[in-house]
Amino acid sequence: MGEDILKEENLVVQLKEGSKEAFDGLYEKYKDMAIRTAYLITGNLSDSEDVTQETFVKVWLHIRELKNDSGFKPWMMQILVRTAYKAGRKRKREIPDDEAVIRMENRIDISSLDKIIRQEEAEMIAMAVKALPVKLRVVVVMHYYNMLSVKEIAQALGIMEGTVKSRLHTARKRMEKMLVN
Amino acid sequence: MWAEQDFDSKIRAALTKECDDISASEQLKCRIDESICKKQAKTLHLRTNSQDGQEWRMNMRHRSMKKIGIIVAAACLLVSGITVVAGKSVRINISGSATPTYTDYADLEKAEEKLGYAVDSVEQFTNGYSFEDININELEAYGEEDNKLYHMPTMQISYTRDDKDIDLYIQQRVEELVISKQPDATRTCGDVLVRCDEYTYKFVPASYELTEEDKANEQKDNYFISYGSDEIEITKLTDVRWEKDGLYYELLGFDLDLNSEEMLDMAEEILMAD
Repeated sequence: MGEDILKEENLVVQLKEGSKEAFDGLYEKYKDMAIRTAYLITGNLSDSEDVTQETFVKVWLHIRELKNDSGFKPWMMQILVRTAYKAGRKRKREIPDDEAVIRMENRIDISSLDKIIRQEEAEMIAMAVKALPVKLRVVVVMHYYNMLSVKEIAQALGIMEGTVKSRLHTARKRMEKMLVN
Repeated sequence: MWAEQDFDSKIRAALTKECDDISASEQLKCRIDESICKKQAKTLHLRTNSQDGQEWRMNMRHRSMKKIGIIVAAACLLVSGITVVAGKSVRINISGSATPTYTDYADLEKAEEKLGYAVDSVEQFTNGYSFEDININELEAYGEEDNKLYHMPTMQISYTRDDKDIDLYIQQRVEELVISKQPDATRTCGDVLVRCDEYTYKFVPASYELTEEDKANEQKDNYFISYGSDEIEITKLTDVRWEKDGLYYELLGFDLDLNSEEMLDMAEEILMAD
């Protein structure tokens, strides 16, 4: 773990000096996390690719503005979620889209009733997340998927910790209501 | 209805399951590299002559100082790099945030307050390019001995249509810009002369050996070869600029689906928006 952190810090230092190899290394490490987070926020595969692209281009262009070499991930997340938030707000997709339905249909290996029930429950929860307004959805994704603390989310979004807590609470209540209904 | 901890773990599991079969494609990496190449032509490409060891640089080993001076004079005035004003070389460094300063056109007035002056701009062009965001950047200019000459805020307004982007850069006029290249097209709008220039950038790997054709192209004042790319890529920059009321305006984009006249039309729309 410590070695990983050191390796990442080295990549950041090299990237600040213009190393394309360092950029490729960081991209490889975070590309799937980035596109998945973007997908959960935008609810759309095409948008999530655009968001990931824009995020990594900004990383390349602005890496020297990162003051703390060990803080790459939260800094990148800040760029990512703000870019995704913007895309999500623009698209205003608050219902599941066709792509998500197709992807759900393509899921394989459902061999037991128990699996089906658990899968349906997971799909319903995922749909409830997608149905949230984007400002609530962003904090839910950052907290539950990216495992960020309230403080980290507040820093990334530039809002108060109390606002994050309030949004998480509201999101949770809304989702519960949707799932009950 | 749900126990809190149980619900939390269910949300976590559901989100993981929802996206665990998504992964970044090879094409996406190509798109990122291509986009970086294009952005570099606006920024990094022009920092090559920097005396700051930390400056990012494209390895333009085959370029002479003179050539770099010409490149910059011919290319972007309002982005980072070395430019030539009043016959002297000036290093321009522009820093800004990775996230846009404003994403709502209604905030233009706030941006103008930060700049300290009003600018000409439009929210939407008649050809469909529409407002994306505004960035306020900090420009610093250094002289030949790396002495700081001046600094000022500058504005960048981005427009988009389909997958194409055009940026409008605005800054206060400091000194007269020397442009040796003849413009590809010009238009007079009232008492303002607008010029349009087209440039070709060829990005090549560090190990690339110039062909005879490359060597001939390099002699042109609108063709540049830049080292450091993974693959060979040729991209076209269209650049429109004018000066009005003590401000420099520069409208530019890469591989646009617009010709010189259409770019001049956009400049005219901005000028008429006054």
